[in-house]
Amino acid sequence: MQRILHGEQQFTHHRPIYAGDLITLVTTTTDIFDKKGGALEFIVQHTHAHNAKGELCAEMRMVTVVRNG
Amino acid sequence: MGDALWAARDGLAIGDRLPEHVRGPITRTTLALFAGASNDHVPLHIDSDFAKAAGMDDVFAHGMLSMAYLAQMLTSWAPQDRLRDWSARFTAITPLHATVHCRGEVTEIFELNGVRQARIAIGVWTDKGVQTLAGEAVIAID
Repeated sequence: MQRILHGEQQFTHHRPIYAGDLITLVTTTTDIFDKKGGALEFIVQHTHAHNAKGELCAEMRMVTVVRNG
Repeated sequence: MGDALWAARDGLAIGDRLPEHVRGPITRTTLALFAGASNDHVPLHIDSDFAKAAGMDDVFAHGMLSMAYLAQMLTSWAPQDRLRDWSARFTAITPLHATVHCRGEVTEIFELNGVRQARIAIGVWTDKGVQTLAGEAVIAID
């Protein structure tokens, strides 16, 4: 936990979310890579948010940085 | 905010600056409340003993707290449903007791799917002048 940092965050909005909506989030890890010979590892995750009608409301992209050593 | 209230839309031009949005000083209470609100209970932000054991001077603010302040800046400037995309890189930690300054400047006006969009460089700086977040937003104008 002491070695984990939030590196980047992105939100893409497609349609509004209203009070009472049921939102389903699905997160996929899309990339893992390292820099500086493995001293820094990057985990890229994409999340899709759909409402109960199956409409895509928002996408989120998060990059987590892990400091090694 | 309704479109009728979005005065900034008229004559919007590259170089236009959003009204600066200032929040803080950030206290331990701020961080405790944001931990609950965001469901981010990472102890680096709420437990001084843990933060010091991890080599930090003290607890420091969640990056997403400053990103939330950026959202306040954007949605108090333009209607919320016009915000298409926004992102930030977390470039430095925000120390306890900092006051943060959210700023934005229009860098491009372009068309996407027949709708004019404004690209806005956004960022957050501490009162000591350290930039903590750097990013951009896209807002539909028409």
